[in-house]
Amino acid sequence: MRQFHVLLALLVAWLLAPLAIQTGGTFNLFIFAFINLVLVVGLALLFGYAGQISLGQAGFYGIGAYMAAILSTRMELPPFIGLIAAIIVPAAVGYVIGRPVLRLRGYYLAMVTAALGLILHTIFVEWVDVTGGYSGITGIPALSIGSLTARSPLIMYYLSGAVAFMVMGLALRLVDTAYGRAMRTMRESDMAARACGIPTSKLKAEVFALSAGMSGLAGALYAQYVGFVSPESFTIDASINLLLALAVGGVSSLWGAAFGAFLLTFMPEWFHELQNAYGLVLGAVVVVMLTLEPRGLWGILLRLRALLEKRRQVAPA
Amino acid sequence: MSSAEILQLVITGLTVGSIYALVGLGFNLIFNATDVINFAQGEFVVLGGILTAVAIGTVGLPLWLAAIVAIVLVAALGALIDFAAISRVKRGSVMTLAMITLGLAVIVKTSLLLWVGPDPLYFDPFTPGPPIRILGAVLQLQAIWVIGVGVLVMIALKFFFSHSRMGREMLACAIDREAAQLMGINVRATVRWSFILSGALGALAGVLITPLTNATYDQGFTLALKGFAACALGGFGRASSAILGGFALGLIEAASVAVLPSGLKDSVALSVLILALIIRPAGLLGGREERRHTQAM
Repeated sequence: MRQFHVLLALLVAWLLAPLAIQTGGTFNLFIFAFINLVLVVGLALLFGYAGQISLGQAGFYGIGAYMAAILSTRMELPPFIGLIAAIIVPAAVGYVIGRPVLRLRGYYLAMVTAALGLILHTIFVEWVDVTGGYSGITGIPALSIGSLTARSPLIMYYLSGAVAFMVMGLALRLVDTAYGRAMRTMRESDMAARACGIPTSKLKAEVFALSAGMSGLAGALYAQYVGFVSPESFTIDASINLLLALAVGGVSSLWGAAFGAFLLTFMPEWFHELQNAYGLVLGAVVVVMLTLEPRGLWGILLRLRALLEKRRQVAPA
Repeated sequence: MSSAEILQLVITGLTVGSIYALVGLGFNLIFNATDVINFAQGEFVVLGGILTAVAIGTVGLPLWLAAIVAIVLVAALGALIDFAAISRVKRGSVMTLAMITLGLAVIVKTSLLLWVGPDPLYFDPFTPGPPIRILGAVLQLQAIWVIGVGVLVMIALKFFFSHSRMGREMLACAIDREAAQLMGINVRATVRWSFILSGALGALAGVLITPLTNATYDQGFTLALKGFAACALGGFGRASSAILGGFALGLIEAASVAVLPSGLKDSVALSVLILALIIRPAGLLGGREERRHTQAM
């Protein structure tokens, strides 16, 4: 119930924020933050809730982006079809690959997902006839509904924001269902989950497919807004940044994931004067945050709340 | 393909493979003591190479002294990492620690960029002279150094873990931390030493390979990934698996370059890795699984 109120307050803030936002640059930042939110929340479901690490999310992000790009440029299909395909195709690829691969655990899974991401990146680079190689694909039409095209920052701000809110709402709902509890049981102990009758290998592949589909959705939003895709957006560095953003925000919390996504987008902008030295800030934030509080920013909020409640109990009513 | 070409391919594969194996051995040291994969291991290697190059080129030290200085400094960095970050983490899982090392890797990489810039650094091979020709294939003298020292390090580590007190204590920590503590082993000190040793080992690898590959500030992550892949292919936690995995990866890459476009080299090796792990989920030699929670935080 409290979560619902927070979500409602954020929704109002989101609707009214354009009144205060002056520049297109700020709109862009919010748009990319919303896109990153879809990615990081997808990773949070997979890693934070179901306990399966992935270092290859950028690969699925890339499949989504290229699906949207190729369908609407080379095949001249409407962008909306591209958006749908960008969800379905990565999810299907994720499911098919996930079945055998998710038998692996811990570092072995980390390695194999990293390998998948790298292989997908190589495909984006080398399959020049389809992907355009390093030069990528240009002239991707923007998503349009009726006469509204989502190329202007304001419209895209509302569109990507709506998608982000929808994803966040659905994810919050999902983790509260029996399905979400099964995911968390599996995270704590694979064996215990199976003993409870949870079909873990199916569940793992499904969650993997879900997060791949969410990555693909983010990829399509990105491609259709920017109008251009190239392999450099889908490197392993991108996958790692997503994981770090999730860790800093708070791994096993969807709100933490949302924080992380916003930090991932806004921090480079806040520190853009540092140029090359930005890595020092990023690294320091990760190291200090995780050393102090493994649950990330969300953990710090939880601690603050506990502290406040304690104080309230001590003080005479 | 002629026999000379095949021999050449094997030589190249073994050279590259021994580089991966050396990085993988560094991973194993820390993994064995803590269950943590130190993603800054590649940075140790690059830092070792760059420090040596600077000590020779700018300061003017002889190679042996420069190498020792580099190894000692990187070992000290290993100790510092454990002191400043790893030992401060009170709660949280192995994955938290692994992500902290990722953050540290970013810091080291950025510092290197700011310090020496983006251009590759290098120094001359240990022994000057033209490459040796064997049956039409070419063998760089430095490659003999890399492979030779790699084998020596492997043997030394084997004895270290089976015969020395510290090595056995490290293994005990890996097998069961609490039990090790109850047996009077100083777990904290053991972890600290594992970081120091793997820093030294990483720097040694950097000193060995820089004459072949040059040292650039951003090579660390690729090296770490290759070493990680070598460990995964062989199975985490065994010195011999890093060696086997490293050589296997090197040979696959060399073979792939011979028949396919070179851009596909990594993907071919990684596809083989994925297949191998699907068939044998704990690596070819059957490594041990992490005992502490790797997933949830």
